[in-house]
Amino acid sequence: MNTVELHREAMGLVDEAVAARQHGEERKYLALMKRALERETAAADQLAENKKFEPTRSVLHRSAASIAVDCGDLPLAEKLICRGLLGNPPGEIAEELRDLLEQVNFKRHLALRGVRLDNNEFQMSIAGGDVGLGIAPTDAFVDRVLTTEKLLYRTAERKAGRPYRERGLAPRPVRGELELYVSVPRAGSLAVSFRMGHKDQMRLPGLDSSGEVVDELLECLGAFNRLDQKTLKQRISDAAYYTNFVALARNLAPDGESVRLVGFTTFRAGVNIEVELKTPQGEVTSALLGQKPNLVSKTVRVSGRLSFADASGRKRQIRLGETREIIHVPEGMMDDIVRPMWGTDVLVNARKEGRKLTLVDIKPASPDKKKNK
Amino acid sequence: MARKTYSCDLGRLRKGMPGLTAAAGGYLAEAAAVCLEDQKHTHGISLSVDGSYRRTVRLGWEEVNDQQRQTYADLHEATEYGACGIAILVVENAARKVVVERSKKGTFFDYWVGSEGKGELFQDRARLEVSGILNGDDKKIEMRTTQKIEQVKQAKGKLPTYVAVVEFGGPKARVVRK
Repeated sequence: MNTVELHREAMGLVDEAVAARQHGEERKYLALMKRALERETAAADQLAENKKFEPTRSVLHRSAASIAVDCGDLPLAEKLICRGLLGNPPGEIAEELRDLLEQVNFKRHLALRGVRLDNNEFQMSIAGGDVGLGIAPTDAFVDRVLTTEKLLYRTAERKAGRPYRERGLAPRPVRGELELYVSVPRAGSLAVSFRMGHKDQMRLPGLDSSGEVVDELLECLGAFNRLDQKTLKQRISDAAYYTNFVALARNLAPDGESVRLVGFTTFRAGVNIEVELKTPQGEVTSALLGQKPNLVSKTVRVSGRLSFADASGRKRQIRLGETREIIHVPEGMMDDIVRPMWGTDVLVNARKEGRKLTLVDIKPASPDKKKNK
Repeated sequence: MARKTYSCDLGRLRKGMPGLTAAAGGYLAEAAAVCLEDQKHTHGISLSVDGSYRRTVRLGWEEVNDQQRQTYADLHEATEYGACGIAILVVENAARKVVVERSKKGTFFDYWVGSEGKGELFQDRARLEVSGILNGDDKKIEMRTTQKIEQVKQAKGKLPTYVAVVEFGGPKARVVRK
């Protein structure tokens, strides 16, 4: 077969594979993708020495490498990427080959690299422009560790059937069951393991194990990443827990630049369970909370220093700087999302209905201006 | 100046193109229909196109059933595929270019457009860079377009590219030829 025939057959096989996966036929998907990989690799092989035939040469190498990643053949993907870069790829394709190499490395780190995780342990890995081998900006890293801890506590409380806690610390049994220990960071892109402490005398009623909390958290993060509102609402039916989860998970998601990939790995029944968060923070809120402006509401942006907050009684309100406008905070956001921004210059997206402003999301005006946690 | 209005049925994608099988086209059409209905639009909604081409495209499609909604439950993925479907139709309608080749790129496909019968594989063809937004305002569309154009501009040895940002809430599409 010539290069054109090989490539077109490969694309046809990928189509079939995608259709198989949509019907839940994972084995068939993998078998078809492996056949596609053979064809696309053969097409790339035919042009390997023809370094002037660009962009076709590099596009075929990137395409074959991408299929190799989907098949889990990371060593082959690495070779194809390197060979693609060895030619004269146009700048855009070269960038995409490098992005793919970053993904290959990230998947290697998700694969634990010899680290053994117990049932009460899981690994978090981050990668991106500002994340080096075993090093990352403190904000990008520490914020995600703290957010993960909050998500675990909230998940445990929800699983145990407790009502949403608007303020105060997590109950002692939760903190006892899920006391979080963090390992020394490893040169993943940057990877750490979390271990949850376990004190038998402090068992949380309604909860069998800390592993159950991790499994639930990863299921919810998977649905969050797919923007699968239906599944997420089925798992988190309480509105306050739901809002809280989406807002926290959004903080965990990649920002698209300094952190492009965030992944979690657990080890269950002899296999790694991996969840990759790829959806950037900016894509999340409106899609999952349905904050679409309509005839009676519109989205407005407000900025200023968060210097007034009132969470007394049933009130949940904030005001920025010298502005007079009161912004109402939905249940589920005050303690975990708004409070850490206290005294900071922030940007707020709010929904305006009549004269009432309701918080949609809040973030630091500039990442390095965050003062208090 | 008044905008011209054209009609386009997503079913056109099911007929395929030189580089797009009928099955793959059908997949894109279904994903686009799921996203449009998710945003509460009905058959005949007007898609506002701006950028290098200004026009209104009246979109038609077959009503989405529960099985299809279930199949495209991953709305992030559906948005990407659906945006590709709409972008391909708009580029065909406005620039008279069809999909002549595809390659694999990450989770999705990389589409290359051109005139039928000209060029070989990816030589002398233009890329179609698509980005999908399920629901966003003009600022978000502008930001996404600028981001995509910057990516294209920064690259050495530039490839001719159509940048298309499709937003399903409006619905709107911005198509820029670079």
